Amino acid sequence: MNAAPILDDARELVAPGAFELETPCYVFDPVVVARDHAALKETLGTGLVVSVKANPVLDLLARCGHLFTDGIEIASLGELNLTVGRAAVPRFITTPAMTSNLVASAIACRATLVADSLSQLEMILKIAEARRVEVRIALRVNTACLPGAHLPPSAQDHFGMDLTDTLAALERVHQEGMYIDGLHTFAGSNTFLSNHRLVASGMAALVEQVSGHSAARLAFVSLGGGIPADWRNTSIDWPGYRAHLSSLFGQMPLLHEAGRAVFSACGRFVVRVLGVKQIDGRQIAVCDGGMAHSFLLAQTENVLKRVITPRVLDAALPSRTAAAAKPTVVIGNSCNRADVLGRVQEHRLSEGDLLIFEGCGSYHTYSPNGFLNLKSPRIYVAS
Amino acid sequence: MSILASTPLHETNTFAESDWQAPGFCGLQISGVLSGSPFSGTCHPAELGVMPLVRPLEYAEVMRFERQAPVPVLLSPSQRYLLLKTLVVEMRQYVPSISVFGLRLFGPDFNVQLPRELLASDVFITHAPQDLLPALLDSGTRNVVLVHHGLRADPIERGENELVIWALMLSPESREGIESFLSNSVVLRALARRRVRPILREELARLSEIAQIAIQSVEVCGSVG
Repeated sequence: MNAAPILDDARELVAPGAFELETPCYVFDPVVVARDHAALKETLGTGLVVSVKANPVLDLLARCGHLFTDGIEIASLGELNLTVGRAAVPRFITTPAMTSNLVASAIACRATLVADSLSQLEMILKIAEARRVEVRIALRVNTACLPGAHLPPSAQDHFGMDLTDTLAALERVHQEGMYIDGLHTFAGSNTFLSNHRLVASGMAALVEQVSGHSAARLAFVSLGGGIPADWRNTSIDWPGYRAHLSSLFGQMPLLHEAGRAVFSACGRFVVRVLGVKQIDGRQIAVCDGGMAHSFLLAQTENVLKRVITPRVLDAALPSRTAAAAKPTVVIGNSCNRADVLGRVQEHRLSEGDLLIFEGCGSYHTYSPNGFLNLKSPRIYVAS
Repeated sequence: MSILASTPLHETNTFAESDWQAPGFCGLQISGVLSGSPFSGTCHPAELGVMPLVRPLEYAEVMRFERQAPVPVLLSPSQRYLLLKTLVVEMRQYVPSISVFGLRLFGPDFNVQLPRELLASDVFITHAPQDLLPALLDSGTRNVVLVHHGLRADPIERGENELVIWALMLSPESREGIESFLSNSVVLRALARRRVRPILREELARLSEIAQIAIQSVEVCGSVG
């Protein structure tokens, strides 16, 4: 075990011990998760459910999962495996691709099943009846179908139920003598900035519409998330939003859910420079990790790519001066021409240098790390 | 090894001259709890394994282990071994007359190699080190160290991040080493709410109970970092 300090007092990954890390790697910091979870929850003024999909590293969940007292959102049997026996917090199972095995296993874990469709609901009811157990059920409502929400066309997606099916689901549950415990919607990743008030208003209208139904025993209303990683720097009027929620829902227990807003800042992606070359005057640093390990860094899905500048830890001391620096493109270790991770302006890079990309704590598994049979990134957790 | 001090050692209860001279004195109990990571500023490789569950019945069985824990997980399995290894090494260094260690270990650290110091011929690994004591007493063994802990390295484990060290059947010549250990131990520095208490021979049969009282008498504590 490497017990050399690699974080300074500000928990920056800067100490010489960082060179002991096996690269490419991720370093996740539970202290940052705890900080950001608490801050976001306080800012929202509601419960905060954490999406396991954003960071399914068991060692990180081991260190901070107990803080997620409002619950965790799970989308697969594999994610359920991570948490069973290890996270005594509410579980919400949400996926459009629910299987009977996932439903039965989730029931065994006393999870809340969020039905995405009438057919899913039928499966849940059938399994509940066969097992003769009480099941906590919620309904996922398609955000664009919330009454009066008037969301932009881009908000249309394939998740959840429309209003007709939502009402039919309530009837169906009533026929079985059961109840709906909650309503859930999710407008999509990074949509919170533009849609949060509309979603809240639409959900409030839906709650008003269904609350008189005898099957509606609403213990929570989940407004979803889509909260960006840099939520602190957005133009959202948080006090105004909290007041908006209070006026719409009164004392109704509300939830938001978050993934990148909780995890992004906790993670660093670290690569080592394998070599530096020049092509027609352009300087390029080739690294031992890239888009196969941190797909989102390559920004292949972005129309406008922002310039990402990693921090540099010089392998050779003393540090080379900025005067000798030349702008350098940082590329990964695949044969994909889109495997460009960032640019370095003020350092002259050399073999062995470490490049540290901040803000990589969420969705790191959203990477094609089977590509080229490259080795998987090492995962480290900060103490 | 880089274990950070949680509280200065002078907060450890002093062990008075009179304690060593008390009738029936046969050793001491040192206890404390982790209130933060003793390896702050370092990183450890992810080590925990996921159980290969596939059937609902299996999930139901594992759910039996799930409970609200009073303290957070602060260590990785390797770090737990490192802490215990350091304890054994320190005690050997300061008290060379120690003849036997009884050390509590438990799974699920299956992916992690045990340090060789914990596999030495005079280190007995067991779930309940106190249970070794009758046989050790019967054989007349002196200078025995038993280590109980509830250091959590996985949320599925019980424990309150407590560490209890019993140094028992101490011979007079071990006193100086024990006092050096109390003054200098890196492991003890990592513990909060340290307590040192004499153990009388008549108390040997209820070590667990005495330890429980020591642990419960401290406020359960812990943060993520």
